[in-house]
Amino acid sequence: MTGEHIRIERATRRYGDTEALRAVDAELEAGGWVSLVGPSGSGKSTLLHLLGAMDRPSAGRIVVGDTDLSALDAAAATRFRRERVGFVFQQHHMVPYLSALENVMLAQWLHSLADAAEAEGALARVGLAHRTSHLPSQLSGGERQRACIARALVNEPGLLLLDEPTGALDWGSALQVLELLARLQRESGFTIVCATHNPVVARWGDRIVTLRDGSVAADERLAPERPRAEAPRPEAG
Amino acid sequence: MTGKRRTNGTGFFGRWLRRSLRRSLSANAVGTASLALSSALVFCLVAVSGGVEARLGQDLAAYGANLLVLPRSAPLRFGLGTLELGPVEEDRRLAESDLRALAGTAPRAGVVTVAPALLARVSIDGVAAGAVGYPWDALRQLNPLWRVAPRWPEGGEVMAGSSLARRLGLVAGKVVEVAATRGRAVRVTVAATVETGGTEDEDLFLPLALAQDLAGVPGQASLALVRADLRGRAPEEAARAIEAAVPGAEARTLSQVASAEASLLAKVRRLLLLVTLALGSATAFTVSGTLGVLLLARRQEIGLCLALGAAPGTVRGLLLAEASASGLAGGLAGCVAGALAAEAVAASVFGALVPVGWAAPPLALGAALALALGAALWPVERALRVSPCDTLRAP
Repeated sequence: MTGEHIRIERATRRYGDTEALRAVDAELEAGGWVSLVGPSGSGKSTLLHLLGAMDRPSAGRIVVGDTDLSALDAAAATRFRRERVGFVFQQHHMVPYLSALENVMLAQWLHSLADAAEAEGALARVGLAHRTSHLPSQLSGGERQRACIARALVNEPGLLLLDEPTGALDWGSALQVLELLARLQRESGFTIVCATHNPVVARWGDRIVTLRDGSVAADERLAPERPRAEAPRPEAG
Repeated sequence: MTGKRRTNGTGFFGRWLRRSLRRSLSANAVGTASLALSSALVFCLVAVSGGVEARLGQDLAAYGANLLVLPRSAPLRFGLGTLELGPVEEDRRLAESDLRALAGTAPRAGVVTVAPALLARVSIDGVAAGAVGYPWDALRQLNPLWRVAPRWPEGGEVMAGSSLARRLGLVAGKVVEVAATRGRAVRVTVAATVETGGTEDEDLFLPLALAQDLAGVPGQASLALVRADLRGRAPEEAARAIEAAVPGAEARTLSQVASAEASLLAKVRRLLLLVTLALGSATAFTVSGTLGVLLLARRQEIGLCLALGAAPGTVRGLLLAEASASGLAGGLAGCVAGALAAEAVAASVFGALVPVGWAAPPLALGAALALALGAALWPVERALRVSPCDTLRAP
């Protein structure tokens, strides 16, 4: 698997009179981990949704690999999402009546074919080999989030989009999730874009892009050798 | 991918649907119950309406014949009940044997009862009167509402119309001399008087064989009154079948009776259809509303599936399959409940069991399925308009 290279050119998203994103320019390297930070309403989630082809820019272009997302119709956007992107959300959303294994198989089936052995392997890689038959309601928050990571990565996407992935977790679980993501990225080389409020979580990336009022306010590259696991306890939320 | 347990598209979709159904059938119990109720009523209405038609057919038969068979070109001037049809030419006649065989020779006419009749002019104790000969059993079957006192005649007895009886002082038990215009005379006993409410009250009723003997035309009839089962059959179609079976005959529909039957049956059908439609509409609103609320609660699940790359058609398929299953479950429950309800209605209204026709179960099931799918379309389309961005956003 190789990570997706992303080019954002004057990307703007308007909702009526409100500009959620204002002519954002950025280039995200393949295989990098970019943290999007900023206060609520700064445009983090909007940019994440545009990168995942869940929404389209009102103006400008977003190019992932060789695909111009702003030119995709609805069917092509759906295909792009299931084949090239993995999503992990704050509320560790899962289909509530499917087991952990079946939730992973659902993503496989939408992509091509459901394969129970491969889905079990994906769950094993996130430490959930013993919880495959459990329903989401029978898993802890951390376990649910790890199951979501397994689901997001089972189809080997080149881009993983994280929206506040540790926001609903205690620090112990959050640390496990972050370490897991770092390990999997080292192994597979996919690109991570992670929207977070939390400055400690943001420092797990190798680059921090700060958004304010829909525009890029800062763009900081972190030293590759920084001690991630020793990061201080993050603030809530 | 090298896994040993690959599941093809249909396989995993089936698994997904089963899991989803397990939850949605209990969550949508109200909708399923509404569908069961509607299905039960459709079943009951179809079953009972068949019974109603059969019963109405029997009851309408009490209004007498609905077809008149005459010699071709005979001037139609003969009285039947309140219908003034005028006298029939006496010298044109039909073979009684052809008329009696009608049920077998004209199966497409749906003949139930045939009453061959012979019209004659007679004198009763020297007073001129009109007479008509009938087979008693057929006359009685065709006219169960006539007021005959004290009893229907038998064998060679005669019966006097009420006006004639008053005019000539005829009472039950009186013996009179009946003479034909050609001179032959017999002494017969008046067994009864009859009030028909029509022109027949002026006639003397004789057994057919006696009338033929008096008139000197054995085995012949002036006309025949026919009661045909016209359900699902045009009166004209029955008339043509009779004409084809009886040489030299012309069959005419007694349009007042036939159209009254057709009109009444059509009204009953229309009433039942309206009740069914009203009930179906109420059910559709209930199911649609319930499903709308349930799908609102599943917005995140739907948004998640769309975000993961599910095509809207896939999610639509899942939700409509759930609705179909709900319709099927409701339909099956409705068939059982409907059969029980039909029995109860038939017993209380008609005092008899109504045989369930083959059409009731598929119609009831089809109605439940159509209602479930029809009611689901709008809520499902509305649910699919959710944006994953909105439903999956952190609170």
